[in-house]
Amino acid sequence: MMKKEFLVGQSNELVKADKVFDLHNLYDFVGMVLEGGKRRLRIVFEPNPEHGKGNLPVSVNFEAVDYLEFSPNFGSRIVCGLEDMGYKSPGDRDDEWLLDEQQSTPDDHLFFRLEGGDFIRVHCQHADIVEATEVGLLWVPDC
Amino acid sequence: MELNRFLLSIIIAVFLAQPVMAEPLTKKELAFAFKDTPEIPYDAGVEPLSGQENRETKGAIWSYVAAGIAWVWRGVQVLRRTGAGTTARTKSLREQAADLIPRNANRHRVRLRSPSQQMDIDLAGRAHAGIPTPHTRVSPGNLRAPNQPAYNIRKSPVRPATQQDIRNVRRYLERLRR
Repeated sequence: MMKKEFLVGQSNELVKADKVFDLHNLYDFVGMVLEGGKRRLRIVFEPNPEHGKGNLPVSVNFEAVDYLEFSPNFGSRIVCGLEDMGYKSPGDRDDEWLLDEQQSTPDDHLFFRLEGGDFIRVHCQHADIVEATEVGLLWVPDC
Repeated sequence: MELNRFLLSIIIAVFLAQPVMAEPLTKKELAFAFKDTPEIPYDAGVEPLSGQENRETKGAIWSYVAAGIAWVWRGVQVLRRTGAGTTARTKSLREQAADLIPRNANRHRVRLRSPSQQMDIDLAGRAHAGIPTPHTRVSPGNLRAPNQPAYNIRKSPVRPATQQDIRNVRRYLERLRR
């Protein structure tokens, strides 16, 4: 069961309360922080210098991760854009299509497709998206 | 406003009529033009114009002016019909797309769906696959997927948005507002 503080809107955005984070159009994918000791994953996005002015960096945080998968050779080439987001059933390996929020269940994996075909597939107990209030805050693990 | 436009048209017409009137004059017109300016020699062989000829010549000049006014007026009408010559210019696709974002609750993507395909139009934002916004991705429906509707998005190429895409988005957003 994954409890989320956000919804996947259209496949380009996460929606938390009334705030829409258009990660596809307004943000650049920066990277991630994996804290193995706490089974915690943070995926970090920064506002695009041209199109995301006025936005703060955001981190999609996953606590108590129980499934994590990266595409082969993930991280071996430059990736700075998110293509789309959605869900996949645990046993479904066909990522040609994704489930949307209404079609998903709490057991489904959250799927981030990045530029160039790379992906991050994750499931956890609790997921949230937070805005950084200070530059660099997202990059400092607290363990 | 209409009066100002009319007066402006007359001024322009008179101005534009000058080249027409400046065409080489006949000997008779030349004589008429300079008959009261003795310091400028004119063809002494030309007989002075009679009153009838004088009236005819003046009439010819005024007919040029009238033709000029009509010509300018027709031109103004054509410009008004075509929209050319005005300060307003046609907006680029990028500007048209950006104008639609407030109507889309400040969201940058509009998704149009039919059973056979899904069209994602990004009105503004970062480029993808080297294609700047506005751009469009059309994904075919996947009827074999267990959850419907489903669309194959992974291999669907991104292309620049067309004027028709923007038009479709505008119509869609207008329908939503009703």
